[in-house]
Amino acid sequence: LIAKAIALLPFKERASIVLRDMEGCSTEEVAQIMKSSATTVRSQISSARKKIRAYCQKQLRRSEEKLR
Amino acid sequence: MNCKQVEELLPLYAGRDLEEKRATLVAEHVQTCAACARVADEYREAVQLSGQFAPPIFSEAVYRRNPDNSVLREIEYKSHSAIVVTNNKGCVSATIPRWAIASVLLMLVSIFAIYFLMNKGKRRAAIGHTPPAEVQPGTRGTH
Repeated sequence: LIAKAIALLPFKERASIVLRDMEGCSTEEVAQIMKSSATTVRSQISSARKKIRAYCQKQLRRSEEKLR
Repeated sequence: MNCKQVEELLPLYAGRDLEEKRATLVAEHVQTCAACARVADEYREAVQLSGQFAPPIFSEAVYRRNPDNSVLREIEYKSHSAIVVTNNKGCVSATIPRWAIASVLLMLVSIFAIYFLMNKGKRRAAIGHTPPAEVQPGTRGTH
């Protein structure tokens, strides 16, 4: 579910989340790779995590409704 | 800090991306607010689960589609160009190079093919060499 949610993210958010959460890079390292500022990267990561959570909640709710 | 302000900071708080001052304020609020604590736990779980996945390996089509190739190259460089076998729960079980999987699959297919062909040959031989029914002496030409 999470892998699919990550796959659905926009390119920059996906790249940030892959580098930060999967690769374990620091925000500064991600900013260096992405050629942007740490603040921008933080904003992208925040947005990506919100979208991942929203997607997972939506899918879980759907599967619960199907079970009923 | 109220719930709405904290909710905006929770995604970064869960991944420890928040500066110390703000993180302390969020932590204080989370300790007193059950709803925000639950949301923080959800974010934390999502961050932990994403950490269990292997970084992706991109095909040439993906490189062509995305203008910023250097980022993709960096992600791929860091993931050692190996594929990771994951089960349904998403946890990593082993890191195996592609050529090893391909050769194992090829061996399995060839073993299966040889076994199948040998069995087929045996079955044909068994049908072709069935002994004819014995003719009783004296039963021939009685008319």
